[in-house]
Amino acid sequence: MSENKILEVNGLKVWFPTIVNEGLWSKKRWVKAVDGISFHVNEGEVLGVVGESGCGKSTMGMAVLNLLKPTGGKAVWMGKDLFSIKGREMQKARRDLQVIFQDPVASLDPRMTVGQIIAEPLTTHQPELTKDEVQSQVHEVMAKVGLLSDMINRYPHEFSGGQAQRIGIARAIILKPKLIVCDEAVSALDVSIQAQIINLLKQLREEMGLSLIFISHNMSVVHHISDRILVLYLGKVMEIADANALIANPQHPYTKVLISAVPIADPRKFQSNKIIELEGDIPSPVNPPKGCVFSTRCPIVKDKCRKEPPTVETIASEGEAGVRQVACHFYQRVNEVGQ
Amino acid sequence: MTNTNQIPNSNIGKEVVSPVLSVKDLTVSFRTNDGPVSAVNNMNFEIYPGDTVGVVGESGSGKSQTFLAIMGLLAQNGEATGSAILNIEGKDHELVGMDLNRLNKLRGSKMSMIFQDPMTSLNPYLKISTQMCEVLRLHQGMGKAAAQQKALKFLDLVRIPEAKARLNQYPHELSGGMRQRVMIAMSLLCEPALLIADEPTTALDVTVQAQVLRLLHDLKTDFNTAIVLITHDLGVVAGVCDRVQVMYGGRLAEIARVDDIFYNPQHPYTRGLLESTPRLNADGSSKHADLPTIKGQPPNLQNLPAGCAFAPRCDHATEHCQKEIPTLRYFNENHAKACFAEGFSQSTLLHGAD
Repeated sequence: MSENKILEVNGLKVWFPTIVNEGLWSKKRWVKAVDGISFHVNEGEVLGVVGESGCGKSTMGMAVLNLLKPTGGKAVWMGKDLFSIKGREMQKARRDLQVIFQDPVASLDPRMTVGQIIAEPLTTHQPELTKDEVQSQVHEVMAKVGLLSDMINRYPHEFSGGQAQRIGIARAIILKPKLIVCDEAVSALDVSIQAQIINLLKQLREEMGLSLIFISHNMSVVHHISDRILVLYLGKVMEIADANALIANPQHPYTKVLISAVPIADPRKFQSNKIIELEGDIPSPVNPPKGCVFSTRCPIVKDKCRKEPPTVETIASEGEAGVRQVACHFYQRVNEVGQ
Repeated sequence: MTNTNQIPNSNIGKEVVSPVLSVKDLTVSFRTNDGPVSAVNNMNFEIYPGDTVGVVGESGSGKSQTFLAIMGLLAQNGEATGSAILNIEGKDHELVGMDLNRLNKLRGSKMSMIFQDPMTSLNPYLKISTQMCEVLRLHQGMGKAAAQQKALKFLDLVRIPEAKARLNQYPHELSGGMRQRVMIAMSLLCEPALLIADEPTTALDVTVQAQVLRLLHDLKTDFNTAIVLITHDLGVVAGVCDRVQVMYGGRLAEIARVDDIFYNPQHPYTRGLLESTPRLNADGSSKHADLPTIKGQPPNLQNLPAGCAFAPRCDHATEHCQKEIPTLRYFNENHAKACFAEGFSQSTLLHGAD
């Protein structure tokens, strides 16, 4: 795979203002949904993003799509500063950056036919095309995602979840984008349909040389589809590594806990797998812990962790594909987690 | 249906006990503007005290409607026929068609249900203590102080930290995992014989899900409650269930002990479901291959096929399957399937812990 970075994000921050009541007075505070994260996506690569609800994974996706105004940080998209481009250049970027959402039926306009839904990006961005040219391209992408051409005049409510998600995918790929953000794209689907859509995304990525940012809370699905995985917790990067290496050999205590908590669909392995249980819940992003954000729940927390936030360090692991980054003062002691 | 009455208790070696719930020919249908829809057809099964039974199936397979019918919680346009008998201390209670007064005496005390969304199942206006004590005062006629005491004990039991302070809080002050624990505590207050949990961990994060699953696992040893766990997640089933019922298109496809479902599945749908589940293989061996899939889409309940509902998606379907609906047959004392196909060899998918 070429190591050609198409997207490079540096210190991305997305904060939302909120009002907090403290005693008699209410104060303006910030919900730090995404708080200084850096990563990149290579051309043709699938970057998986995992984390629990509230960790900022969707916010990160929206910021990358330029749908949310970031509070800070930089993003370089194909050599250009994504957060400052305007006008024609922004339009060009919008064509190359597409999105697939979680709820397949809700993300389609109920009053438009399948043909209209899929054609809309094309008629918006390439108004010069004739009706016939649009039609033929619509038929082409419908075939590509496994929709029959006689479905073109039907409405979204006539489709099951899996088929509706295929329509969403057809709409996302018709402009031949370079990067698609898949925000929980298979989470609402039944297992047997989920497998069909995962295979479709993999196949499209091969055929079209697409890059994907695949956001999901489901570690098994993310591992299956991703080349590299980014683990988020409370708006911060915990670990980034090659997908297999991350699962086989997690270096951050949180990654290790997260992997151990995945229920294994195999009774005997389930019994032998030791689930590392965490105390308590995710802290509020309005008032995140000082020091390391994971320090309130970390099984191997030390005094230093409560005072000093760790930086994301690049570490070398022997015989491992790719680069690994970890944000932990004591990653060398990760073996003690769950002991 | 053939010999469904002879399902033995999965706790082999124990004395033969009578089932806490016996369901016979249960059918659930809904009146809709487009005509009747039968969500559940001819269900026959039994649940024994202390057993944890997983009910697995796709959305629309009828797994929730079956148990909503048993709890008497069907929507206005729904109707249940057949029989569902709850056996409490040797006394039989027919739940289908039971009048509301009698049903309300059983619900919450002898059988209870917890739902997927722990926020909407608690009353946002009432403190946790008010909601928990109401159950005890209504069903057991307890005084306020005694009820508070018992509520506190059960919050401790489900491992809620600072239980005493929580009693005086409102639902919005608790996190999702905490609310689900309150729901579990509340459903166990009267020590019911049957607890139905409908996707209890689906809305929770994995780390919190692990906590709740551990809790359910421990509770079944503490109480002799039979637990029905409705879920679409095979991982959840593998962790806590003794037996599994697989549903498809409103019918039972397969019933077996949990090990048999995973290591020796006999219905093509069960096999397809297991194969299409992505797994965390650390070596990444299966990663670059496509996931095996079940072709096609789930059936439309309004327009079910004449024969086996799974036939249009099944690789083993014959003409016979398209014409006749297979009944659930027991081919050994613990394992039943509704399929005409001959037995499959041991699954090559999983080999257990090796």
